[in-house]
Amino acid sequence: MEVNPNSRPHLDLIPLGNLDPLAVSIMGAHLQAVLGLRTQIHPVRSNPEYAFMAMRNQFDASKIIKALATETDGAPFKLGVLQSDLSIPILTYVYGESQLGGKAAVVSLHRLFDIDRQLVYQRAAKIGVHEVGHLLGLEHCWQAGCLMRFSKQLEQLDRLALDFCDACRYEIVRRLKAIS
Amino acid sequence: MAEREIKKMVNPNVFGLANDQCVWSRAGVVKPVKCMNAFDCLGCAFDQKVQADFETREREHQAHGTGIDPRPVRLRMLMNQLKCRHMLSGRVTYKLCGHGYNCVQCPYDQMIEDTAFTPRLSAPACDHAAGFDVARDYYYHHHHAWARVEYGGRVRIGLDDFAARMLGPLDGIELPKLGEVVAQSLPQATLRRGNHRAEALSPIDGKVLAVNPRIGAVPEAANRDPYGDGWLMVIQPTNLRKNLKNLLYGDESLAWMDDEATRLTTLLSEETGYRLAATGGEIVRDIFGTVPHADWNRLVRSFLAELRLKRTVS
Repeated sequence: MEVNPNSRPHLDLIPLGNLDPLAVSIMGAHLQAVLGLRTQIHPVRSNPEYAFMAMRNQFDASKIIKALATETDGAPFKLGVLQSDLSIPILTYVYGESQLGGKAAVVSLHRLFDIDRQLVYQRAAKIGVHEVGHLLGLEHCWQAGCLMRFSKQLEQLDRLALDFCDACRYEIVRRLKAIS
Repeated sequence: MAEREIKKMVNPNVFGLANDQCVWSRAGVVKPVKCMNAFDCLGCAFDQKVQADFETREREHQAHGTGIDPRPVRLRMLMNQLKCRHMLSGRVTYKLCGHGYNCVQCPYDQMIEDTAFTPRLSAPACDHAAGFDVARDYYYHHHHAWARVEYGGRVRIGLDDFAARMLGPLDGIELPKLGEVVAQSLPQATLRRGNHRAEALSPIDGKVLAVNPRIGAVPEAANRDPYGDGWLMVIQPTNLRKNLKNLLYGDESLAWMDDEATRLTTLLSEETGYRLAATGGEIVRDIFGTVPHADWNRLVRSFLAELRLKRTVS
């Protein structure tokens, strides 16, 4: 999964609102190093107020995805990152949401907090790579330790390595070839 | 190619019973073989075959008058040990037979069969798929009903966590009468919430032997504890092994539940043109009540079954 720096980026990493820039850089580096996707980090945009749900005091992940997916310029994949809490109608909160085999995904750093910043960065990288895995068309995996496994809570996320099982890795390579 | 033609035999996985060996195997009368009838020995074809073999030997013995006991040596050893069939199956720790293995006439056997209706006090172990609970050792119908094969061959059925959370707390559940016949993939219960109705399909063919006596007064138990107190009824199956082939079990039920969660997320989200996959979080207990634009009929049509007349036979 080597990257040619002169080629057009595969993925636009878009910070939405104020958040730790180092976390975004780390996420971008992991997308490039682990998945082999050429990642371009965009300037910070304003908070997506259009997706705010006052009743739940959270942002609607699906609305943000819909807005990102309508953008036609730039890279074929868009990944939004925000500090605020995200949810979808059926889940009380989400770490991230993605279009399966689609164009846009979004992740939140809100619930990844820990006093150990290293742990926060690791979690951010895992969630980012997991959601982009969905963008490549991968569904949740049942292999223990595979990064595409669904994590209900942070303890489960922390147990995962930043790596895929053989089947998911094979699929990623196959799909990356298809989009290259 | 030859392997493909071999039809894999599906033996029911009995809930909460570690031993899966036929009692005749455990007694040493026949070679090791797995129980194929969920320890419903009195209705088991294999059991009848073994018994018939004993009777044939007995007849031959009487005709020829050899003076040698016609029963197999191991059966005679078993008769000397007097281990009850429920002890051999692992259901009870220790019980000796007092009725010469004539289980039909045995009051202890009757008592054990009767207590099979009593729900287990401990909650079943659950795995999680995309935030939904999936009880271990349960079979799942693709329209979100579960079936739990219990000792003695009866099957307890109910709604799964997905259906329970999707519909939210129910106001009423109409169940069939005792003795009614239900069929796999046909309606077996009507679920009511306000003016809304939905039907739950039966995961297996059979006759209704018991209904949850508390579910009428506390229908929200189906939402609160779908795999435990929220059970709906107990069925005497008529095509158990055939029906189980159509149900999901183990890892495939987890993968299926994950797929259903993705489908539900996509259905309830704004149209993005793609299926959506979310990571993290707890599923809300009442999806229909929480999501403002949720359409009951669409949810029911997509995941349960369209409302239609019950097709049960008395």
